[in-house]
Amino acid sequence: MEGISGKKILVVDDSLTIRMQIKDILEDEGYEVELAKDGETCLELIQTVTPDIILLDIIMPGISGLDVCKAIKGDQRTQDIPILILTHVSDSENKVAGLNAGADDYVTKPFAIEELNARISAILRTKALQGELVLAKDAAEASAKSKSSFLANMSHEIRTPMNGITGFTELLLDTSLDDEQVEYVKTIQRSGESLLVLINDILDFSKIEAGQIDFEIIDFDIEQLMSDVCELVKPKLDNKAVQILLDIDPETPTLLKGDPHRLRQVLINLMGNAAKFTADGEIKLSLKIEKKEDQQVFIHAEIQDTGIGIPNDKIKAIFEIFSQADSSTTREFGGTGLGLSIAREISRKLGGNCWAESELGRGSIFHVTGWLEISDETTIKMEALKEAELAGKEILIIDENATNLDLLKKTFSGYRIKTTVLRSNKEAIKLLNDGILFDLIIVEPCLADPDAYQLLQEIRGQDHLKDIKFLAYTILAGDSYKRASKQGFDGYLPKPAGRKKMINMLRTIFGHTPDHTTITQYTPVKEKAEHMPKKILLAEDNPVNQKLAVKILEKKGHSVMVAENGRRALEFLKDHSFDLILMDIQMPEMDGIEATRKIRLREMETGHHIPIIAMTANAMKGDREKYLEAGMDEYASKPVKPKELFDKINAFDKS
Amino acid sequence: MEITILAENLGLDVEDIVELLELYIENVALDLSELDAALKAGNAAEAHKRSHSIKGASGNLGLNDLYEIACKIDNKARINEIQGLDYMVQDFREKYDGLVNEFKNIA
Repeated sequence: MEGISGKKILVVDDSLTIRMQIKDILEDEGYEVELAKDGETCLELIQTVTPDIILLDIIMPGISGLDVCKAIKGDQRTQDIPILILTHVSDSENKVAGLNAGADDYVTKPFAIEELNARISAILRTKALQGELVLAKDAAEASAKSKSSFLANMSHEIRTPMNGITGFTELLLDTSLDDEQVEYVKTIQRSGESLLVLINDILDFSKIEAGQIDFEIIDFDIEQLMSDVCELVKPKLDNKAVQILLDIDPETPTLLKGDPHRLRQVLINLMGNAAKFTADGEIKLSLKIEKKEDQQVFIHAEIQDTGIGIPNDKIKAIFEIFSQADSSTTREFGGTGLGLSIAREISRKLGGNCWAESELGRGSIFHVTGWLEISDETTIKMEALKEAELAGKEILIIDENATNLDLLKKTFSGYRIKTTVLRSNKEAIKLLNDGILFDLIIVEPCLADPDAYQLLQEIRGQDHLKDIKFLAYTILAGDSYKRASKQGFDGYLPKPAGRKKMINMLRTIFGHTPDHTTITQYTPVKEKAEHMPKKILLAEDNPVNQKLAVKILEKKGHSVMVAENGRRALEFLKDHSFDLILMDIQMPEMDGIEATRKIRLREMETGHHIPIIAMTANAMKGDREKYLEAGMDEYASKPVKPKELFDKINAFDKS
Repeated sequence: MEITILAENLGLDVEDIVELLELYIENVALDLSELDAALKAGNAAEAHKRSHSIKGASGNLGLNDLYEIACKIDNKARINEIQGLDYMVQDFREKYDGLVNEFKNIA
């Protein structure tokens, strides 16, 4: 028989007769046979010899066959050796016990030679197949892994030319093109951008699969991160009637430790999906702290939407690789379908999970959980001290969205602020006319009949009400800020603001110092300028330097807009005009030199020339030439010396 | 640290300086922890980025002691010499902690 030669069989039986009988039969068949007279000898033998199969008697003096079987199957080195037990016909109890102990089959004594042979070769066939399967599985895994790591390693090579394509398409759009050409270039741009998204998803997934994903462990402000995510997702709503709400557990530590980029990636992905699949209603991003242990918290983020929902039978599949609920979804909404798999992998690496629940036509809730460390950095706990400032204030909130009212109420209760909530301005006027007073009224300028401006005028017209402060909290875009301030509002906040921004705004309104800089819009002139006041664009990434420069410049009557890197500066320049740019050199995403080059390139079309002053500490030899070569006009050294800076700024008075 | 002197040098009010110092303390705490992590990981580029950020903010506010140490750290990190930088960072951190305590008492 094929394959028998060289196969080794170990026969374990206390009866010499049976041992010899089986040995004769098997040797006739061509097997090599080893013998053991009891369990002990068997266990000793298999330490040095690995048989292809063991024939094992159950009832033996000393260690019983069952125990030998358990010992063999319990040892990693021997567990793969098939065991065929030998029992008496009547002993059905031991047949079962033997199989339960891990034996592969049994033969009853007295046995027919043919049956013994047939069972042995059946076991050997199975064993051979198993071996092949293991090899095939190993090979398949190795091949998948090597493909993934090839892709992951190629990531840079693929991304760089793609960035070249999208970048230069953008520049091409700034040149003079006729309408037809603009249409063509825009198509290239859109295609390039969606291709880049696809590539990034695929590469990310390959990285995860190849085990090449690294998690950073740095301090970050999760509340800020979630508020940023909301900001980033807003433009994706394309003017749909969808509100974004943000709800953060007051128990959330100020600083957590982990990988903010990965977390942001997960949240943007899920929020982006929600924006894609929600036509009207609301999308709520909330964060709960579920558990606290030592220096760790178990976070639970929820993304709840009022979108189209997902059918029950598809909800598991959407997390699988290359799957969307409906393949037609890919055509309608785009995407690789990898986003959710990536989100799940990342959550799992954080010791959590990512899952969804949904009701068709009503909406979906996506959940993300994971462990994050609590930062041990010395954070200045100003929060607790300042809480007292707002305690006891009475605030009236008017909004038609019930969830929004609930969120604000919850936020404020943590600061011991008393809140009253109303759904319309009409009710507010009635309440005020009844003589109820408030320190602050928060309104949504979008509400009509009467609108917030009418409400404001009504109140400002009455002497006993004129000290009430007004805050516009609105879904309207940033431009309405100017209108709001002209109309006499004391503050303006775009929705959703998050706890920190809202509380900072209240502090500002009530005359306290806020915790952080909010981006300074065009601010009113504070002092008479000795020279011509200018609209200055400051490109600088460090928050301390930003704030310092803004303060110094505003003191001299200049108005300042802050861009946190070169790319933002370019964006601001599209929609605003400035008299001068102060440009830091080292910035993330796009440094000052690249930004200057791009600005000058654009200006070749318009013929304008905006003065750019480089601000940097890199006072290395040849740096000055490098900046001038990039198109900068002047150079101011850091640390900033106000006098030097003003002299250089004023030098551009005439031009 | 004499807040009035800092204010005078920059032509700002004392309130402005207090506000800036609050922001500075918070930001440097973040930068320092990332600088530590970068040094542990042997990542000179990141260490340079962080020390550069600390240097800029310290210098601009006129915190000369802190600025000088930050300069030394940044100069080394810039040329990939991060061996032994952890001692300098420790030195910086002690001065920084001093500033935080002093500031807590004043503000």
